[in-house]
Amino acid sequence: MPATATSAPVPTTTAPAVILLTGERFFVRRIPIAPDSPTAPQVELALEAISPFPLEQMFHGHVIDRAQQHALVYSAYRRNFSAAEQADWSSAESVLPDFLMHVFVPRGSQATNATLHETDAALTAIAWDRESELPALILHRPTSDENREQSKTELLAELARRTQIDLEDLSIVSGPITSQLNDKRSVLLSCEGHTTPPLNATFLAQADVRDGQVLAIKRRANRSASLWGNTFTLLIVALILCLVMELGMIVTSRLLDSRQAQLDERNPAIEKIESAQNLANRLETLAAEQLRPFEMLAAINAPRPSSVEFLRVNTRGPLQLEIDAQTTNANDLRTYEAALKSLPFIDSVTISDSRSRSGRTTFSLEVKFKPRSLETGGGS
Amino acid sequence: MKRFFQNRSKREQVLILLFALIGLAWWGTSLSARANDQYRGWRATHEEFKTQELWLEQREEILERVVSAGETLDPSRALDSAQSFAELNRMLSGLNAEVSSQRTERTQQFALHGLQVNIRRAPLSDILKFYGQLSARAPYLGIDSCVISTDRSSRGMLNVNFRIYSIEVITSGE
Repeated sequence: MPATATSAPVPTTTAPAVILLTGERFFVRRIPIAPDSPTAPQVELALEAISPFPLEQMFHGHVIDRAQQHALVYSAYRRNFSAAEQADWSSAESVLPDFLMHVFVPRGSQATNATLHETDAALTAIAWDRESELPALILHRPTSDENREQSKTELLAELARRTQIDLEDLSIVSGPITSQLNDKRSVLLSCEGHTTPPLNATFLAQADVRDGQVLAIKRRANRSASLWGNTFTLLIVALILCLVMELGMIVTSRLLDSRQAQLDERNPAIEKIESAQNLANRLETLAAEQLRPFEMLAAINAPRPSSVEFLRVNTRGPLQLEIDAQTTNANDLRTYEAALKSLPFIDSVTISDSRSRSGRTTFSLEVKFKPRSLETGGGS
Repeated sequence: MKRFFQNRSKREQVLILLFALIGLAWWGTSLSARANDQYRGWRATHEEFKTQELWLEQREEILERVVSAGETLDPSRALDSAQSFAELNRMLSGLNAEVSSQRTERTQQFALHGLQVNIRRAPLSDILKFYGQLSARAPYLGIDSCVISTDRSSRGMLNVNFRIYSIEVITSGE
């Protein structure tokens, strides 16, 4: 029979999301494992070898040490758990034996080799050796007030006999083991000031005693719930971002209004400066060059063939004329252009938009004069 | 809040997500459009502000240029808007002409008045006479631009549109 010869349950308090099972129903062993091989088959093989029942009739789980050289395996006969007791298992985050608290609580350098955990109805003795941080042995005894001292003596004697560990250095813990889920849905087991670090679902997957199939369904459901939850969180975050942006826009809008008011306030001053700039440009232009349309016209009229007539003359700045003209002799057009280009005070001549109709050719003439050429008598 | 969501039934979760999604799409689209408008407005304002800053930075330099450009002008020969109007009317007497005032550009020292003169069906000799009188008042009166065209209905006659300026020197007592 298993080393944990117990019959009475150890009372524990469980949060709805985590179900803690009393340890007396479990058969517990620490086994060596090969670190290079997959753990699960090794554990199942070991359980088949040492368990009193076929594996299919057992709930089992295991915990691996950090060096991956030992596993603490535990199993319990399925019929030890009533259907009513198992009713909540499918909705629970984890279903764990309660003695795992002693396995997961960090052990400092001053930690004792053995711990005795006392509750009203049971005693649990745990022993550690130097081979692994996992307990070498865990024993349970049901107890009552009448036989408590005797049970304690017998339990410790058995622990010392089976582990060869010196029990003079023994720590005693009393009270029920409790569990809770934190905000990140990690499990915390605690008893009388001893608390495990947060144990997440992935870490506890192998420790959970439920069937692999049940756990797979549970994991899928968890993933789906997590996906929906994350989508919801994402939407809420996006809505909060929208709100932040909206508030930001209100602030920016105020700043923009203030800046616009500042611009409007400065606008009259700017218009005055622009006006002054225009005036400065005009005065400078006037000082440099006066518009002399009739002098320019006279200057380009001298070489004009008699067939060419000016219809409309338009000035473009102080040095340029645009002329709409016509001629009855299309050949005179090129002659006139050549004659204009030969004049020393002409900068450029462009003839464009030539059209001939009924023996009359109309064209546009653009003449640009050299600067200050009209002052030196060019146009006289 | 996530716990509140996870404690709802599947149907409630779907509805919550659906409404949140619709709300987000609606709000997000509107917000994005308004943010874009505001960004463009901000850019435009920023550019305008920078332009104004440039103008303000160059203010003294521009005013110095105006003063420097007007140093050669004799205030006694300059004409204000009314004087230039009257002077042009005098020069155009006998011509079929129309004079109208246009905009004025002004600084503390100078004003540049714009006038439009349209002469209809005038012989070249009369126009040259007006032009001669106008040139005699340069640079206090001068031509900004000029369009000369032959009159189609009266051979030998011209229509001339002048845009004329007059410079006014503003003395400190004004």
